[in-house]
Amino acid sequence: MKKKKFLKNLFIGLVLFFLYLPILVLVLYSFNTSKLNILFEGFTLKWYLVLLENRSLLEALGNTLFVAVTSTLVSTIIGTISAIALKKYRFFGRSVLNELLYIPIVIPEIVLGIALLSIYTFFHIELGLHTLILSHIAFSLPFVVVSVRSVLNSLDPHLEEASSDLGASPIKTFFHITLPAVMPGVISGALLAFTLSLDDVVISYFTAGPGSNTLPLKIYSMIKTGITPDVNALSSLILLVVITILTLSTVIKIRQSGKEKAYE
Amino acid sequence: MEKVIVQIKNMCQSYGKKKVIDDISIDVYEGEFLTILGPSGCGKTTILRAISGLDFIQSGKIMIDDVDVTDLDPTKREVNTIFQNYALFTTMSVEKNINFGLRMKRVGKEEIKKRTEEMLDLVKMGEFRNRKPRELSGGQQQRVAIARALINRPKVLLLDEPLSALDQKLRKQMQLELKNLQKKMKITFIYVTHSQDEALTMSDRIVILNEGKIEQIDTPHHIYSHPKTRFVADFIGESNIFDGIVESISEGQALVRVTDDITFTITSRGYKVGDKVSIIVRPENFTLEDEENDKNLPLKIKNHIFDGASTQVIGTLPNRQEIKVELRKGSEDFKNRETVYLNYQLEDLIILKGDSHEAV
Amino acid sequence: MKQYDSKFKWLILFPIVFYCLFLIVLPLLYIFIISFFQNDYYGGIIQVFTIKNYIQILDIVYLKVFLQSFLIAFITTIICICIAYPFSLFVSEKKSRYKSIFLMLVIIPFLTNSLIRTYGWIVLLRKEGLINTLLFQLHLIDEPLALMYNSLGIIIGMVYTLLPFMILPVYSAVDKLDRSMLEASSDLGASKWQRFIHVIIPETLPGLFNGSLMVFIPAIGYFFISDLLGGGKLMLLGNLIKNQFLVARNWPFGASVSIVLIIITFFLVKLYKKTGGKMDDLGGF
Repeated sequence: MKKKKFLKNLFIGLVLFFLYLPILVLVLYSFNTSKLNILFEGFTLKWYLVLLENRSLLEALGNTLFVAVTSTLVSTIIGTISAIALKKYRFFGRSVLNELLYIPIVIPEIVLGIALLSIYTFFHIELGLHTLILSHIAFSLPFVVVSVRSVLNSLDPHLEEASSDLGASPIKTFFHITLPAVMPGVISGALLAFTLSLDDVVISYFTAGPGSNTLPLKIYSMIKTGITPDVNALSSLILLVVITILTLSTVIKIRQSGKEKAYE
Repeated sequence: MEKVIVQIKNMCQSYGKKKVIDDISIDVYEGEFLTILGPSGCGKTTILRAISGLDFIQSGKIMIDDVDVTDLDPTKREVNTIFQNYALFTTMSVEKNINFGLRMKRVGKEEIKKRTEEMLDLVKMGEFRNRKPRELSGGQQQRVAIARALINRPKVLLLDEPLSALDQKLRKQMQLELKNLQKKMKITFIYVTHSQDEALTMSDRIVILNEGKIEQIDTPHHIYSHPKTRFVADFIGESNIFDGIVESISEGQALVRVTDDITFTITSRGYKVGDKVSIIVRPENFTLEDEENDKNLPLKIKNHIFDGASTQVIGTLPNRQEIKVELRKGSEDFKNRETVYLNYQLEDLIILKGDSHEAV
Repeated sequence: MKQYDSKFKWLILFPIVFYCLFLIVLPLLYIFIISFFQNDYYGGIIQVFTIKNYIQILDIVYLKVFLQSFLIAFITTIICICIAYPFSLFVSEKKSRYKSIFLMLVIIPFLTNSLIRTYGWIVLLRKEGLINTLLFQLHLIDEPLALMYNSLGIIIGMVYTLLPFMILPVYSAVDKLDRSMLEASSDLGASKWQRFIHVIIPETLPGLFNGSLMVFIPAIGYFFISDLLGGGKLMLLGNLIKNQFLVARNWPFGASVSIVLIIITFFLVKLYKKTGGKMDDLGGF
């Protein structure tokens, strides 16, 4: 029995090791004195300083964050309102609209990428940050709708009726009842949209223009010519931020569920 | 009837620091319907899981048909279980659910077909053979679960509160069905429940379990009329319990004082003056009288509850103890009275000796 | 009142309708249309109807690309399944607090940039990389192993990048399994393996299909992995489409390949729905 348990834990450990291996390597090399990512020669923090002077890399980071924040904001607002409207209203073409929303989720990203590129060209829209933002909205909005809808479906259908029965106007009902109730879905949808945008390579590859380089695109071109350790340093920093946020949110979640249990 | 088919010897089980089963031994006879009855959390399901092999026991021994199965996997034990929520395979049809065990053992095709038909007939589910479990009613799901277990011709069938998910009426009906099935198949049933009603209706013998210990093993009749402990008396049927001290003994009778106003006269079985005893009276064993005499007790009536077959009278004694009396005949005679007098027959009293909580 | 309601409704719905029209329907329709046009030598499109782009796909060169691409995607999917099932089963046996920690540990890496992680693999896998250096130092090999710039490298990269997409739906299906159903199967005499094949797989099929869809489809299109880890030696459908649009500038042909890809995707989605999968479960975690 003990042996079986050990083997199971070993397997879990190996899978996690596989998932973290390349990340660990990058973090390790960000402290390497040598410029080449081959042998570990000695410990240094200099790449973190070099990073501060790498203007094109920082600019790409800035672009990435700008695109991610803007597209997430737009997707989340439109996505939330639309999910509620699609649930509430019956109208001609509703089911078609619902089906259309699945397309960006299922079709290969590259197809959406070239399709968007083609239509921008057709309308003579020059590529730049604006097309990038538009494209990121294109693939992240349906995820927000799905995420909000899953919460909506689990809500008590009489919630809104009870609110208007008690005299609240539709606008008040929306802000005081519906929105707070779907908030978990809105937040997880927004987080999903944000991470998808941060990480996107394929669609950005086709829809970014000169001067709108994002971090993934910058790294993509750097890998071909050779990556400098300051990129490792940047990745390590990003990783640190992600892990901190996730740990905090998990701790809060565990605390909350602990409290709920205490009430039972 | 006398052959022991399942033997549990000195079984102990604890989860963490909590002792769930504390040194239990049970002999189950071939062909009997044995019920393990107890409040939730008393460890009854733990015993069942130990017999089926779903959990291994920490100490003790389990024998099935004279074979030590203590360390054997559930797959290798000739017992099958009916789970509380039936645990039917949702993706398989009724037929596939029923012959699952045979398919796993790679029994021949002809044999599988023959025995599946037998089972479908037995539980009258032939016309539903192609349905999925979610397309069946609770009672039908129950039948599939029974057929799925019985097709393997187990030496013992274990049932873990199988009726708890059904509504009242269906439960009554399934109680009868299960009992008939058990008689017909002559298979040993070990049945776990917290419902005394089910236990009393169906069982040949009942094991009463409380906090991991056996309180009593006996036939339903004996358990009701001769509960061995205060817990059993309280758990099975309804009881009025009086704690008192033997005050005097004369002519084979003992006078027990409960309070200043209340005394009982009981048959003395070697009591000494000063012994602590508990007197238990079932509600139907009290009679009501109009006039006071030196034996009966005054009861101030609070409520009448009529439930069709009988009437319950609830009232209080001078010491404020609440008393339940069940009258077979109508209680019209006492309806408008505030006070009546309780009487009892000597032989109907159940006496437990004081501190030990053991029956005498 | 009725009038006002209807106006309000369409005002609310306007953004999503606009979005669907201009960012989904129109682009895809445009791709569909140009897939039936001819291209000129300067990368332009001549508006003359032709089906030659679709016939061109049947060329052995391009059929090979399709085949390679599907093979790589298929192998990736199978490997992901083989890792995700035991992982999910073992994790689901843990206490609930550990479960959420393990799941978080699966999600964290893929919240960091996938290209950076792919680069991490290059550092590990290349000829003078960490793995080869380590094996050489341990005298296990005399010559560096070819771990990348071949299909092995691509598969490692694909499995690595897409594994969480398999683990999450499979785990959520496995974790929802009724414990007593598993116990019932052992009780009825099924061995561990029989239980896995006859009970666990069928009961978790929607999750399995969900994961397979979320792994298989991206694996066809992730051109950057075959670019970086395959060294451009092995052309996948993603690379083919990318090249037709950005290098060879034969948009009509690239469009026709995309249309075929869309049709295959829809076919797979249909299959998924047929096994009882829900559309809303796709891509959500």
